[in-house]
Amino acid sequence: MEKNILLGLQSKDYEHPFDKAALAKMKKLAGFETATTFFLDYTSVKWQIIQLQGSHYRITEQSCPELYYRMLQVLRTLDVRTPLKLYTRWNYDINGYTTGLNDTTIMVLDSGTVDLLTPEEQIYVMGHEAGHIKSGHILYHTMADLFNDAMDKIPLGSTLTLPIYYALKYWQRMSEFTADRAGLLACQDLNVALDTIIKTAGMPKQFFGNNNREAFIRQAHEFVNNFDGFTDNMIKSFSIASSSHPWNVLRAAELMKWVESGEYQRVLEDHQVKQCSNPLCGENIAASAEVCPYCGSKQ
Amino acid sequence: MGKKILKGLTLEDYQHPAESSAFGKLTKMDLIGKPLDWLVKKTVEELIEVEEMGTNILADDQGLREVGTKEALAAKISDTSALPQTFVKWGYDFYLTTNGINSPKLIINSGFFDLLNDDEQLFLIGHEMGHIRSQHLRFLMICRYWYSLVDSISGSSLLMAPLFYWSRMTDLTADRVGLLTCQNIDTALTVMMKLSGVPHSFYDKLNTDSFLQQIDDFQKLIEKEGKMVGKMAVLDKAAPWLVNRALELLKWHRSGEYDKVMEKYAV
Repeated sequence: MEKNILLGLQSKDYEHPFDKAALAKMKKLAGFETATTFFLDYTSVKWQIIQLQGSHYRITEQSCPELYYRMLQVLRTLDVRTPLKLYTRWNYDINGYTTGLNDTTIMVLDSGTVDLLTPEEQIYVMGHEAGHIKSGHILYHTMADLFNDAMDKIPLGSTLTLPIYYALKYWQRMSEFTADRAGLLACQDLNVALDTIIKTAGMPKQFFGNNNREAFIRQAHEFVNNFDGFTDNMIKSFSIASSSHPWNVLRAAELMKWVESGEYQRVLEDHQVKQCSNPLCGENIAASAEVCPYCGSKQ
Repeated sequence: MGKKILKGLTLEDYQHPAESSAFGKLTKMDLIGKPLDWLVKKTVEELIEVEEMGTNILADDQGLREVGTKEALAAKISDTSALPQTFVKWGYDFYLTTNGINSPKLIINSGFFDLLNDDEQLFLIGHEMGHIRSQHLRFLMICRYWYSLVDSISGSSLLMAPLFYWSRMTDLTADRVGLLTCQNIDTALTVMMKLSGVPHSFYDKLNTDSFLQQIDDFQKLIEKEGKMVGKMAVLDKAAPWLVNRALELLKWHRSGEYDKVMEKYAV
């Protein structure tokens, strides 16, 4: 399926309001700057990056062209310009993560993601991860995952920084809503996105392809509408407090809301691509551009 | 089958230098001794005995005979005398391990049989034979049960770093025995590739050249980073470090040492 190339796409075009709010709150927390600086010096992060490259299977044009070109397509669609390395690790799960430090950005996909999903669904997942990169989530994500290990280096470290830890985890979950939107922008098909979430939530492999989308959508609406009392919300907060991802059903609900609001369509329309009107140039440029950034000619 | 039997193979023929030096440091620390041996024997070994028999499938003459045959072949090729009992458990993973010291048990995940071909299975079973015949199990057991058994003993933390570092190095030695068992460097490489994370859908398109490239690039990376690698074993005990293991195995194979051992014993 031909995808619209979203040239000029920016993080704020798809950032989820939960994410924006959580990030602002987190940065205001007392001691947050100090904790971040401490974390950056923590050698275990660098160590993790090296260990990862020594343990997982690297995807290149030679080692796995199919996956490699799929990734390039995603980066092109979302206009992600950060150079990154792609790896797979053995795990019968639909998941992936992105990490990095300074100039190194690494994306790791579980082998289950490749084996259990269709190519379009894989594009959704890669787009989700690329969204994290584009929105600058990588530092705080890596911090959220390794936070307690790092803080344990100081006596009582992880106890004193508990508020920061929970704020980090909360923001991490909210950032997933943003990345889900990026995933949708990458595959440009809500059904593909929903199917991926359904598989992630637990559809047995033998039932893949049975049309269960309607039922899942109903489940998503039910979850949002019916589990909304005070106790339910308390339960929701506590049980998910240390989790890195929000609930699958909720993720589907948020994506559908975004599409229903018309915003998703607007993002697609705002980022059309056209050819530079100068016949000697002819480069792909943003449809809204008044001047070509390559040759400088007025459009 | 075409595999050479290496009767008379000794530890000196294949022990990885990093492992022998780490082991030397370990044994100098007299903290490990009869008391820990006794502790492990009385608690862990008996526990494993009961657990395995009760949970997993025993592969012997009556059931899963094919498994027993592979194991016997690996033991014959690598000249391992202590033939372990073999158990199979459900798991969509390549995982296999050897547990126990006096009566070692080989525990293999079901995924092992579904995801690897015969030669690749021989490499990994040979790897386990390597642990058994190199007397690794005594200290490996202490590593595995560290937090439940040893951690509470005062002073034991002095032992932790050298012990866990050595335990990582044992894989380098055992990999060599794996290679001596399957006797095919390409097989060893494809096993490492699969273990490192090639998705199942690409198993028929495995490209060893690109993996060699990844190994080469990784070697350059750790040369640049230097001291980081020294900490590798202790900070993350679960890390497989497969690319590094493949690098070490390739180096041994390319140096001609592997051929020397094969010629010395080939029968």
